[in-house]
Amino acid sequence: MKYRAEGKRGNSRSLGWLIMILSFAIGGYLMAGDAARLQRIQIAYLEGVQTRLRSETVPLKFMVESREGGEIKAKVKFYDLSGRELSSIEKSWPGSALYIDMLLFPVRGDKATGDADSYLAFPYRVFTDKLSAASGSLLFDSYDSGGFPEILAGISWSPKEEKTIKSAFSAARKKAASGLPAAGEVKGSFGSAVHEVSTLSSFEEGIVYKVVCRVKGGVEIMED
Amino acid sequence: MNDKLGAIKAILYVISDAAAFLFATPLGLIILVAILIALAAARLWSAVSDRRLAVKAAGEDFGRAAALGAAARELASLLGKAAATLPTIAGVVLALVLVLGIADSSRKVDEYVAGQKRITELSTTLRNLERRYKAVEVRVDDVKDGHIAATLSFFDYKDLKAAPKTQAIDIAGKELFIDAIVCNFDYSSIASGSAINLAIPYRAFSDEVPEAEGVELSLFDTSGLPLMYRRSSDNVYGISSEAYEARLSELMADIRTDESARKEGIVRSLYGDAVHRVAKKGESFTVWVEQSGGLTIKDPAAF
Repeated sequence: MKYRAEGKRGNSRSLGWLIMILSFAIGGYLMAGDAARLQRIQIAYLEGVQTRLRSETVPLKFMVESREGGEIKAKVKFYDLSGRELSSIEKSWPGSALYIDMLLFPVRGDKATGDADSYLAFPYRVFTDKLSAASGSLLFDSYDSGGFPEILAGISWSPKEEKTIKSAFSAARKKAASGLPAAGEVKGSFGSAVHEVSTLSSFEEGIVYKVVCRVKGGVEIMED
Repeated sequence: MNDKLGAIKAILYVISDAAAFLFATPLGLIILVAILIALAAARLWSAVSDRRLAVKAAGEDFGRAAALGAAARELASLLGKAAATLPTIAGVVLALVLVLGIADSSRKVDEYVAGQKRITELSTTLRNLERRYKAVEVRVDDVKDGHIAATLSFFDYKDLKAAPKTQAIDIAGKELFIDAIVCNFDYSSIASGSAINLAIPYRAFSDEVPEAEGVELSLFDTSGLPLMYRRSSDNVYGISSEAYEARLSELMADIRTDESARKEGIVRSLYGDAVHRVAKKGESFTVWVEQSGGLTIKDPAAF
């Protein structure tokens, strides 16, 4: 009798252990599933940020046509965000190194710190090592479409974004039209004049180069 | 140990996949039922054949009814045997469920470990891409009579206590340009941390003074390395301080030689970049080398 009671107690204990182990196993399984889901979200986020950092826009391309008599003759073409060609200019400038000046405006940044999520890039002017920036050729007219910079067309902007773009572009245009520098007037904005370095990396005649704008405000020149 | 575990896992996954296929997919179930029917049919056929031989040997007739009877008896016997082995079948089913569970859990653990590895890799990549290095700090001391007076500071990160190397400039104009040679490396090199984008500021000019008439900048250390790229061992990740400086020297040699800079396609772009801003008295700004590419200007308040 006593042995039977002890046997029953032993069975109950084993059953208890089994239920506990099963509960842990099921709980662990569900937690693992949840952890995997969270992992997938984190991986997708990190991949998204990485892609965003590497993304680029190309508002203009240029080609040096000749270098004669202390002048550089080049053709500059403008493109919208979908890659559609908008217009082009062809001109000669005195000097030996060509400078393509871009204006960078911060957007969606933290107003308190002036830091930016990303930058809008506007082609500003062309000058050379011998021609001062103030005497360079302004480029705004080449892509102005009723106050909107057409280089940013090709994707849909919200009315608020469109207003911000127009306002930044208009401020830059006004400053430039009155012969004043436009970089730095809007908080966080600056200019970036990318150029060849004659002793190191010259633009070869007949080769097309693109001006690449990065989301964090960096501007690069790359062979097209 | 890992090899043994891998072999056990491989066997476990084969059993688990086979069981999952046979018991949890329509095709598997069809195959399983077909095999059972074929086995039962073979067994019945054998029983009926044996019975027919025995009956014929006894000189009796073995008609259709007798065959059906023999088949029914064999079927009943088979069902009886199956019922008797139900606990064994239940045990096998339980074992298979257990194997499936263990295999699935093991796969989840493997996925989790792989996911963690991927997150670590992506985080490192992102950290490398998001990193920026301070190139020059500019303080506008005065803007008067169409002239900009500014102090440029270049930092020696190897010796943080040392006062930054400074250079005072005075130039005609309203807008200050800091010109640098920029070398952006291939994204894979940046992401892995084996290279960092470089910028070597070499000249300051203005909107009114062209680059050719600008002011030379001097911010190299005695061995010809730019001060901003000197790092103390605490600030160099995954590489010894000495190896870092040796690598940096090689890169500087690359950047100075067009041909070698383009070797092996490690350089994405090599060009000049003159970042600029309107000079306002008392204001300061910093020129940064972005590892995602190019140079930027930030207000000190942004950090």
